[in-house]
Amino acid sequence: MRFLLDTSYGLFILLVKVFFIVVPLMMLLEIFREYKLLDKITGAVRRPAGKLGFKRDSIYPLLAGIIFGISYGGGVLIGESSAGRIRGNQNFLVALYLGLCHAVFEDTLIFASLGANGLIVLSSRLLLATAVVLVVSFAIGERSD
Amino acid sequence: MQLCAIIIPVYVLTALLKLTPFFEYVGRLFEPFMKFFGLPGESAVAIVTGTFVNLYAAAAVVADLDMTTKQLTILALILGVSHSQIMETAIIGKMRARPYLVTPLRVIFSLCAGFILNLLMM
Repeated sequence: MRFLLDTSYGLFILLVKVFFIVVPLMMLLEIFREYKLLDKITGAVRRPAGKLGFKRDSIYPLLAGIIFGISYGGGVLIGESSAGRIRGNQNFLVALYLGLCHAVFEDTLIFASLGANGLIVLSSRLLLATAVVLVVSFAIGERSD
Repeated sequence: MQLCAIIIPVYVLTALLKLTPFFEYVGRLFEPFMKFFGLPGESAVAIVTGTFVNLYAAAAVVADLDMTTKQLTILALILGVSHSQIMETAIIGKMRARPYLVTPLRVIFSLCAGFILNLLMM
């Protein structure tokens, strides 16, 4: 009984959090796409991301994942993927980068609050993900558009 | 909606696993290897819990351990790179983004990163 209560409560909290992050994020994405704002914002990171082999349409889900994480950003990731805006090997590159480095604020804060050096943890993860994706995109011949 | 179809079953599954001594048992198995990362043996339980459940569950284990800033930073890097693997593998699978490659790579790179950081930090 205790287990049922704890689990359903925890699950409810998680789903509410996901809902309140995912829905505004997807609405924002639609508005941005409608007014071509996305082009301007992704423009700033397009060059460095392009060097890693990311195509333009992959950059928004990538940024969503880096900031919000795979669970909370999952709606955007799955949505963009099944809509065909992230295609083929781009899915793999986005998932690989995010696998190594995502939810940079949340994850860093959890351990910084326990006494870890957040700056070292965060910069190591960014460096690792960037280096691995750079090598992998080169190896599989995936290029930016 | 697709996201709910993943989150709900995975959350219930990991909650059920947490009731069993599974994480405790697997953690004990890896205790002898912790010295490669400059970590105390008990931190293996935190790594296994974080890998399967999530960082909050791992943090709850870590909070009971007595570790230095260096050790906590190494542990945070390992867990930061590789955590919540059941949930996140499911989402990456739904993206059709080769989870069978991404998940093992995360585990391997998390251990490499922890090993190197242990050598780099004085």
